[in-house]
Amino acid sequence: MQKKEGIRKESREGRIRTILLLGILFVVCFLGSFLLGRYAVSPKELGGILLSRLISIEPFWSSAAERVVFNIRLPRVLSAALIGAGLSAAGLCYQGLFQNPMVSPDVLGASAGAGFGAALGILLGFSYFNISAFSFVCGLGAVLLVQLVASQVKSSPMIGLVLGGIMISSLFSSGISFIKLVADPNDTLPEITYWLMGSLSAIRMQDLLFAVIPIGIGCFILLLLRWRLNILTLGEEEARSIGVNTRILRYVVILCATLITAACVSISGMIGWVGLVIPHFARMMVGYDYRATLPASLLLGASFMMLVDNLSRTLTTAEIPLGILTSFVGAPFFLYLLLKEGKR
Amino acid sequence: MMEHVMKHQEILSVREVSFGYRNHPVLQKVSFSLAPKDFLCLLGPNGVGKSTLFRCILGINTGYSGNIFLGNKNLRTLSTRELAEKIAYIPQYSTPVFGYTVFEMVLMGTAGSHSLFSSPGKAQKEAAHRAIERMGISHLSDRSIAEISGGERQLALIARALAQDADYLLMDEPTANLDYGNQIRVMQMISSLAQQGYGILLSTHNPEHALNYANRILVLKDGKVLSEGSPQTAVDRQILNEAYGVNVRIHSIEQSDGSYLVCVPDQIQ
Repeated sequence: MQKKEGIRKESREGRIRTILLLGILFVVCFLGSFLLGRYAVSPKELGGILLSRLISIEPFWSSAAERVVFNIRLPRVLSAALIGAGLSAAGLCYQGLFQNPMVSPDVLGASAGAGFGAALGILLGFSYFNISAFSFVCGLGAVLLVQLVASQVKSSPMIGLVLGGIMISSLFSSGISFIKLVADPNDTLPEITYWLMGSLSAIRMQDLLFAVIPIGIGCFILLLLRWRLNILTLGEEEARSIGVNTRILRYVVILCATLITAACVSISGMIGWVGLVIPHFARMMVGYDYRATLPASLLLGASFMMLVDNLSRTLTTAEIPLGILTSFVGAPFFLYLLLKEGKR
Repeated sequence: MMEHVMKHQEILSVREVSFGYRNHPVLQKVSFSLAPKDFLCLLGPNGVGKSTLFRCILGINTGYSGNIFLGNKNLRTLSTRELAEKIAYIPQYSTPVFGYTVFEMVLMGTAGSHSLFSSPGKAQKEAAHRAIERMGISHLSDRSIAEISGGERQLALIARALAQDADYLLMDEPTANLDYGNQIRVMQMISSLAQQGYGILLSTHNPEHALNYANRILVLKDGKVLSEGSPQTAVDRQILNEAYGVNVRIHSIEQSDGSYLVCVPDQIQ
């Protein structure tokens, strides 16, 4: 028994250590991302610029460097971190809810709805900020519709949700196609197409402030529920037999994950694979307990997205949309996981 | 041997419970009762309503007629959490999708005892440890539930039910899909739990398990109780023929450490 305790403590400490390492990775990615880009900023300058906001330092850097750091790179790096963390957390929680590790954050139609909202907003000539807001509302609306459909399905709520998600997603996708069809091919159509590919190039501080509220609230509540999320993976009946009514828990988790997903898509466009691959990676590192997997997914997702965004703005002179790169990195990686698991 | 202290000495009584899916009746006026230290085995062919009966007792199927009482409380009036404090359920063997460790899985049994935003504390962790130890699987604590054998997984699920601290344990075919050795180990473990004070309701496809481990047997046929009583009285050649449509003879094998009942099918049916 003594020996057993030792092993368990070690594995628990191992998890904490892994999460700490992921935290360090996050900080390194965060700071490193400020240094990359067309305008060169040295680490020393970056340190000075960031610290000057806290203590008074005689500026030894150019005012252009300061503008680049605060006005261009800060919103970009922050939003990459926010979206990476948010999509990973949403994916992780949906996977538990559906007892299926192959589920991604768009399962309930939040992405398709938000995409439709953005396309319609662009078609109607909304301002950039209003496009985001409208897209966010449509994302939430799509999931609400799925909920309504599911509540009418008598057999099993989960089957209702999955089928409802497929149907509503498909409806909104065809809506997007229709908007593309009628959009002006000279300016509106390319704008819609580019938006749907997913990009952070046009992001500004105000968009970020708009998205940080729903993503923050969603992640905060999910973090509070971290242990309960484990119970969801048992399925409704088994959870019920140990005294947990999953109905309320399910609604809360869907609401949080939907707020997060819709907000992410509304400011960045469709960015696939992150919400599917990062939770797998997190589980490989720290096991299945949500108390460890959720923080690990948040940190890992944020780091991954910042890295990919760095690639997107430095690989070529013209930016490569993020959505393309995440699929380019994510799909082969997932294939690798699949083959590796097959061997076991 | 650890004695399970019953929180209450209440008797679980199922009274004239009927249930149907749409117009198709599954259970028809099923009545029986279960006391602490009882080990009641449910026998009957596939689709006879054994799982449906469990689902009625667990409050998952709510549209049944008749009543189920625990002591003088109607189960319909109990909340999910109150019910879980009295009755635990051990589901059928299945391969888990999420590979929680045995300890994490058993710890989930304590979920009913604390609030939405809290994580298990020291008391819950100790309860989980005790339950794991009781099932004799301490060495598996940190192994993934997806990697251990089916029998070990069944013991882990029973440990989760013990951590839940209920008085009654409902088990839906706990030995289905287990190999021969594991079937015997799991049945012996369950039988010792009954001696320790738990009330056990278990469904099985193997009449020999019912004959040798249970102290009471209930045979269902077409949703009705075909026979009920002690292993000596509730099951004979005729009852097994009516329930399963095969001719078998029940033999008692006398050994130095007691007798064992076996069912031998007739060679010419």
